[in-house]
Amino acid sequence: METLVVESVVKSYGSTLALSGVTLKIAPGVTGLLGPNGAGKTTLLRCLATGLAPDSGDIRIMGRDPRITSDLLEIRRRLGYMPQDDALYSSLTCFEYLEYMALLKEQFNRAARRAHIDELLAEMGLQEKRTSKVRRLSGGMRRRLMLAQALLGRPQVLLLDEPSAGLDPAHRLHFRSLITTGGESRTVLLSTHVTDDVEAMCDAVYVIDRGLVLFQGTPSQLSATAVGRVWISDVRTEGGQVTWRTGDGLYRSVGVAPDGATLVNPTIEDAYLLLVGQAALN
Amino acid sequence: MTPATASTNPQSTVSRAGRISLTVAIARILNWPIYAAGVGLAVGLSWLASLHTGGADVRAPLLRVALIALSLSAVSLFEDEANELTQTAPRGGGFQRRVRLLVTSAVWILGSFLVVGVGSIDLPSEEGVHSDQFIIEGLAEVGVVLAVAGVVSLSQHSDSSGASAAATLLTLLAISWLLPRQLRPWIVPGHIDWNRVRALWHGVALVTWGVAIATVAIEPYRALTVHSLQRSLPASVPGLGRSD
Ligand SMILES: Nc1ncnc2c1ncn2[C@@H]1O[C@H](COP(=O)(O)OP(=O)(O)O)[C@@H](O)[C@H]1O
Ligand SMILES: [Mg+2]
Repeated sequence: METLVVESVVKSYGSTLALSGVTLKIAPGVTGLLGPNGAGKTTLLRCLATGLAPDSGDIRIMGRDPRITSDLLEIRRRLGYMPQDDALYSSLTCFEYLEYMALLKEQFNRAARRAHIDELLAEMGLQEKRTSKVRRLSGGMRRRLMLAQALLGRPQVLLLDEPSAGLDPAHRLHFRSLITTGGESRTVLLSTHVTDDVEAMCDAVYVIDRGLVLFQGTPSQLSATAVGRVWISDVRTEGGQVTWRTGDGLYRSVGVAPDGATLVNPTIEDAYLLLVGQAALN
Repeated sequence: MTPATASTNPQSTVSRAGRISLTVAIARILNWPIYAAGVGLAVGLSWLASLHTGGADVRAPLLRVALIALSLSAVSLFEDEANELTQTAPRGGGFQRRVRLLVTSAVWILGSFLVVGVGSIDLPSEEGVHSDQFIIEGLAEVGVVLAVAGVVSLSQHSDSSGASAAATLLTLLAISWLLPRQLRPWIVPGHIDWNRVRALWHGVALVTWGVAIATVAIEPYRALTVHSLQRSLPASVPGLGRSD
């Protein structure tokens, strides 16, 4: 059973078409939304988080329609959302911030609420910052606080907009484990432009660019799309659709075979570049 | 893991105690320092105005500036720094905004009474202008700006709260008010024609409402102002766009 269903959703900002007919069906588990800047990831997540109404098309979240007022409230009660830009109150402490957000999420039992918040702070490694003002936090700590906020009430659906941006490697790993241990029944949809994130934690992936779905499938299906189209050579050669120098001094090309290059196994990043590069050329 | 939440019980309605703690939390989170500074400035100005023995038309300009300062600072009470997130919370949309509107209206009206009250100390009554006329003027202003801010803020999918719109509009009003008297044909030199002022106010209120509704209803207008800077960057290879 799909938790999130998006059917031909169109959303434009004035003359900018951000989503031009997106269709997705997302089941419980972790799904990645991969795409370059401006692909429409944030717009799609905001629509799913009930913060933005699509111009046309249908959205169903846990079978409910956000256009119906009573459904909207039920959806919001089961939803955790981490926006791309930090949505914090700089004059509050971490604890006060989470407490405010918990109240907006109807957690009115004071003792239970406070215990829950302390538990989340501990999970995020923020217990020492419990009484620090939000304005004194580093960028990575803010992201962790934003994730804690999204996890308030252990929602069934988690929408995370570039959650790993700004985290150091250790916290990025920790964060991956937090997200993937959310339970079988939880649906996580996260946007990223980091292919490593998809490889590390996603059961399914959608590649979107310019408001269109270019690919849907599993991460291994994604890398399989580039089989036979990735080459390595030790000199820079013309001909590849995208060519760059790797850390070990070799040149990696995707797309068209450059002269004298060797075929290698593709990664998700290769497949992604191939897809997005193609879209850019068309 | 403690699922410490009312959301485990989908049928739960907000209890009275819940409403109270929520209202208190929302009121606490408002941007009070700016409003307090605005009240201080406004009362100071109206106290200066009250030192004039000349009467209402001498005091009026200073009182107007005081009311503008007050209103501009009160607009900051609408600003929700975390709007993008809070509007998606069960009690973050309608309820939170209603509380904001209510609290803001109350303290704003109290503030403007205070300003007008201080400004009309020792006002000679034979001037023919009484403090109630200042009150009418002040409340008209408060009403218009609250209306703008309220409409913008209560519109469900607005991503800028009423503050930006109201501040812009109020600045326009301030500029028109601060024009030298000779440039304001609705005021006869040396004498304030309150009927003309009020008639003008109705016109301004109508235009303001029009702009407010346009801000809410016409997406391109908002898109132009709010996100013109947020442009997509081409993915740079191999870092794939933003480095983070
Ligand atoms: N509020 C907005 N107003 C106008 N244009 C916007 C707004 N938000 C996003 N856009 C535009 O919509 C497109 C998709 O943006 P976005 O959803 O933020 O992409 P992503 O999150 O994938 O980087 C971009 O071209 C962007 O400039
Ligand atoms: Mg984005």
